[in-house]
Amino acid sequence: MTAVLAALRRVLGAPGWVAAVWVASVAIAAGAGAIVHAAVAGAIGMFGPAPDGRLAYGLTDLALDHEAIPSTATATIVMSALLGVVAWSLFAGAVVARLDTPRRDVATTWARTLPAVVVQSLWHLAIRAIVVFAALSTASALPPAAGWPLLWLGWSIGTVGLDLARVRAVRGLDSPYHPRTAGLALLDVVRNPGRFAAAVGLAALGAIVPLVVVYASLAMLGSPVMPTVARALSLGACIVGLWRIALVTDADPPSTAA
Amino acid sequence: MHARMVAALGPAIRCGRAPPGVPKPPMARRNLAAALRRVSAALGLGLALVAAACRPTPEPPPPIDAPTEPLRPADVRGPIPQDARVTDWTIAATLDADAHRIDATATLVWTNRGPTPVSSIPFHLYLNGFRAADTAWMRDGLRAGRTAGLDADHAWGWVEVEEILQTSADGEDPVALEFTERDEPSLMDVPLAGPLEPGHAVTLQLSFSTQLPAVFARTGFAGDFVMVGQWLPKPCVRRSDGTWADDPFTFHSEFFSDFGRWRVTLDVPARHQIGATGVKVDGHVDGDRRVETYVADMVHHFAWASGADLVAWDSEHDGIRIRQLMPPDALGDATLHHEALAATLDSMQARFGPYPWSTITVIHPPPGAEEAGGMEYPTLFTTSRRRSLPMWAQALGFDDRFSGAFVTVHEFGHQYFQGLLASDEYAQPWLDEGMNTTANALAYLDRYADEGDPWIVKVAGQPLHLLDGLRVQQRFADDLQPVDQSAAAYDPTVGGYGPTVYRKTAATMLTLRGLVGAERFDGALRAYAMAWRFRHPTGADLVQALVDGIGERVDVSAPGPDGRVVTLDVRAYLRDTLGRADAIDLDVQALGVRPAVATTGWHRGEDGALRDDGKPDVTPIADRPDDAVEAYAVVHRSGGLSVPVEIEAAFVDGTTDRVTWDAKARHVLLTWPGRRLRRITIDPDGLLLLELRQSNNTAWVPGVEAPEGLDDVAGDVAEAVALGVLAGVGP
Repeated sequence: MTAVLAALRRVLGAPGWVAAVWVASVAIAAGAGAIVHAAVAGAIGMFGPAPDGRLAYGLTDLALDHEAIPSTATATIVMSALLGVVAWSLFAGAVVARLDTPRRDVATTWARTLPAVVVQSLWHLAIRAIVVFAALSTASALPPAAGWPLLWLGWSIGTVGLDLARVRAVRGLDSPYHPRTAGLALLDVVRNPGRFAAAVGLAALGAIVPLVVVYASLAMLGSPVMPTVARALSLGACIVGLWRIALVTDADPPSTAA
Repeated sequence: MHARMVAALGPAIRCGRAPPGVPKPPMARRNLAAALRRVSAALGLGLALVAAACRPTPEPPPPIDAPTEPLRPADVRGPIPQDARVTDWTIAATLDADAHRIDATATLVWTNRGPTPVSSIPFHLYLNGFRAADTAWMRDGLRAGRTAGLDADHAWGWVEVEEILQTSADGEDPVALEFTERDEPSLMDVPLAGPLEPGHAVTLQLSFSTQLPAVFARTGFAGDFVMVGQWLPKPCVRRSDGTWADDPFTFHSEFFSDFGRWRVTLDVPARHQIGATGVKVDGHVDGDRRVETYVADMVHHFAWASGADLVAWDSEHDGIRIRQLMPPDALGDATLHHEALAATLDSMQARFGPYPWSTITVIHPPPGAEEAGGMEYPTLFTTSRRRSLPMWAQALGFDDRFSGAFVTVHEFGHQYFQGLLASDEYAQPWLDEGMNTTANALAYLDRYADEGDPWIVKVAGQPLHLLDGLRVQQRFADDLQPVDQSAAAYDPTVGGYGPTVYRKTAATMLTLRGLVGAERFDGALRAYAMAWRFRHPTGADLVQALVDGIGERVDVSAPGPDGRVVTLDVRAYLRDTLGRADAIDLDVQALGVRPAVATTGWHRGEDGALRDDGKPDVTPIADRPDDAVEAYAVVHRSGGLSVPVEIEAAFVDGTTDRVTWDAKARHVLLTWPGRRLRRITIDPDGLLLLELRQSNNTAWVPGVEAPEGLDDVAGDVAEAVALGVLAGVGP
């Protein structure tokens, strides 16, 4: 527990980094929101919802009347996700360098290890796709009460495996571009559950944040505080995510100096 | 257990750490202890999950004895017109569960209630619609995809008539009749031995066999379960003008028969439980066979189901015995279906008169027989499973009042619309399906009366309401084809049968109810239902009943400033909404504040000289006094149907005004001198359920303070969802 909290203290001790990650997320999401806002505004013109506040029906009516709107919204959110993946892949090395122990020179380390971090991210993506497919096949054969937790756990382990691969890429391991690095990182998480349990737990917590945010957006539909709640949850997710990375750096003893 | 295991492995092993100064146990023992901890944790987690997934199955209550009479007492059910009884059936049927075949003999006494003699009687052979790919039903069914999942080995079903004898009333002097199947095999003609005079009856002895298909459309078998509906030859209805309703069985059409008395003996495997129309009057098990006799009166069909592993759940409501037959794993749904049925019974008895029969049987098809679900027969119907949401989902605001329950509400509703008011489902399917859907909506409004328009689905606590659902379900079919046409006129490739026949009819009736007032409408509909019980009403009969009860023309507004009142022509309304493929669509075309007509400039006075009354007022609208401006709005009707509509204007000073427009012209210009407009809402009370597109019904004057619009809401939701997704793909 002491080590877990120590990792959190390191994250909270880097408020600029927390803010940078969060602001980037908010900026991307705000852009998505602005696009959808403009699309809907253009479609409805001077019309507005009836004063009786039936927002759910109003949105349904709107989507049925203007089929381009759901398509636009979906495409916008997908693009936001892709933008987030690319941005995070590019800057993950810098965050690892900042949170690693001992702390590294961020600019130098990031510039030097950027290609390796990106390549490991791509290898991990391919491996995770295979693992997720296998997990889905297994989960579909099980009752939902067992299948969904299995998927959730598997996804969380995968997230920590990706963190570990990036950490090792930043630390300058042999074969920084080899898929073996990504595969071994995933295997090491599975084989050492005790060392990575806290990180997997945080990954599991982080995995449900998207569901919580989507739920909040529906439950608080039309409420003026809903955007604030969503942004607050996003900030929490950023802190949890960075905390998880800090834990992974602690859990994996450095084998090669940068 | 864990502590004892750890203790058994030695005092040094305690949560994987040895006390200070004590040497650690060997590596193998440490690894074993760790492994045992992991296994016990996994087992505990697994047991917890299994326990969470398992729910105790409720026990059915004690059985309730079947009533002795098929009809409720006369003082409860009301009178029965004797000339409505046309048929009298006595049937003995034996089920071969292995061959999925029924062999039967029947005695039919058919009475000529028509104005002229009858020399030949056409019969329906409905099940022959499933006999081949080129029957009227199958041609459209295959193209509509209704036969997806058809079991190629058991695809076909039919009813084969082997012999028809005409006898005397006591069964003597048999004469073999030469019957002829038509090119469309769902019909046959049976010439009688001689003309049958009006008011006289003929006795026919029939021998027939019924081959059941693997169920894909209401009737058939699935495993050790059979649902047997429309399984026997039935005489067509002879209309009051002497013509026959001898229409083929097509994809969208259902059934049309006369009322009568039925006594049916069923011989099935002893392992089966039987659910049937009417009441059981006799039953015994003889070796490996179960034989039960059922009697039903004043019904137009006898349907039944039987299967192994069916459990009976009996209940009672208002003196009516309700029997639910279901597989054991569906017992958890029984209470939900009973409550839905009881609420619907209360609503429909209050609105449409007493339910006349003494029993209701509800069949829950077992897994594999879902295609038999959702169908009505006299005093028996099949329902569907409820898709239960887990408790945690309900706690998060996900819920519905629809799945399972609505099927029971709808299929029970057919006991009235079609069971009692036995309209021709081929010629005017809207008269039962649409009127039943209307009744279903009224049943929900009655059950949840304190909510106004009740919710039917909740997503994260956000409600979707019943009447909004009715609007949504009419989409894409509102102007595709008229409501009032035969079932055969609806091509499944064109689509629109459900939205038009079911939903648009209900929207038509509920819109009328909103316009003329619930009391007037409900009274007229009740009068129709009471007048046409045990009869074959037509659409014209319903229209006349509504006009008689509501009035030819109804005032739907208060007198306007000019003293005129907007009226609704009820007959024209029904003619247009039921007879035309058209829709209501209204929108706000323009709105705002404009200068009032001024009196400045040069005017000629009474002395004939020009008089200077001042310069034009060029002050901006916003800076003018109220008496120098006027609010205006232009409302446009783009849909073809014109129905009076209320328009609400909201002003900057917080007041509102409502105006009724007859919508006969394509547009109307409304003005409010001395007022500053903020908002216009068309149909503020949502009475026009036939208007599907409401997104253009409310408009705000640009520049005025308006509440958050849909663009703001949609943008916020998109931003929130994007934040959630980014949280998933980010750090």
